[in-house]
Amino acid sequence: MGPPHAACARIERGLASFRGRSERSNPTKESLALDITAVLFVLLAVGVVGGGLAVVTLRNVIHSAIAMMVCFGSLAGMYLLLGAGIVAAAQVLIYLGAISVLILFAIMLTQAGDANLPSPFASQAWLAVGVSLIVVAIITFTAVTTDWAAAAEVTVISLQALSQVLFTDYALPFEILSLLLLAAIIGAIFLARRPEDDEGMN
Amino acid sequence: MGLTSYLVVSALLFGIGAFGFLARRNAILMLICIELMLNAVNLSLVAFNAYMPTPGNIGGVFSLLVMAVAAAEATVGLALVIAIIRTRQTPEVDEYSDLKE
Repeated sequence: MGPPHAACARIERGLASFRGRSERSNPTKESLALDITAVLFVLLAVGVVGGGLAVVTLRNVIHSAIAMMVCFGSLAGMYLLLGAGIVAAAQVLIYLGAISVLILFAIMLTQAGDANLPSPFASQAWLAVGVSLIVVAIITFTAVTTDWAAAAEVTVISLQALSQVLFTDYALPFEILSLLLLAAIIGAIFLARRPEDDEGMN
Repeated sequence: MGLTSYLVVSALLFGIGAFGFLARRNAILMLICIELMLNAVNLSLVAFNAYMPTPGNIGGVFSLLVMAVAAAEATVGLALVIAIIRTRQTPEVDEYSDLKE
């Protein structure tokens, strides 16, 4: 948790001195702290939404998987902005490290070559555009119009407190999750066997 | 940046994932889109946790649990997709129109 915050503070100070020279004559510290957060948020939001759009529009599936990695990396940055360093670390480890590699391997195992790629969209694509736009509109409308009574400042998750909660109050879900992962491993091994192995066993 | 802006990004990502799941024909890409939707939900969980009036860690705990479930789902889903692609020789889902061999 230490190094990212120290780095953020350094960047903040550097940007503050830079801004102080170039744009604003007498900036207050609070407005600049808000500014750097806003700039980072906009950059990461562009990464998340642009990466997501690239995932669903690119023709080649491998390019889509790379765009997915960009999207997940930007999300890890957003978790850091929200003060959830442990979630950001888990995002990098699980999504960028494990799931992306798994998906890339699956693509490479199954892709027959990209000589003549067919149209990537199904015939109901326009219907899908309408449905997802309606979903986005409903969620956005609710998010914007609700008075959330939210705190003004971001609470930083402390790793110690989170581990305390995870291994006391949520110990049962944690153990069930380990069973789920075991079942997933066994299921994946069973499903991914080649058909000739089955014939040999039968 | 307030809670609302994070929720709007989360809604956009969820909508993109839903569109990709409904509109794309490649089975692996549909799985990627499920991951996008799960990540959108995770983002809203972490954002709600960060802006809670009474500080807590429940959102972080739940996002970690969601990540583990997503990893299990991706493993089994990809194994299924690979098994189907082996028998059908194509990743396009609209070719999987019958259940018999």
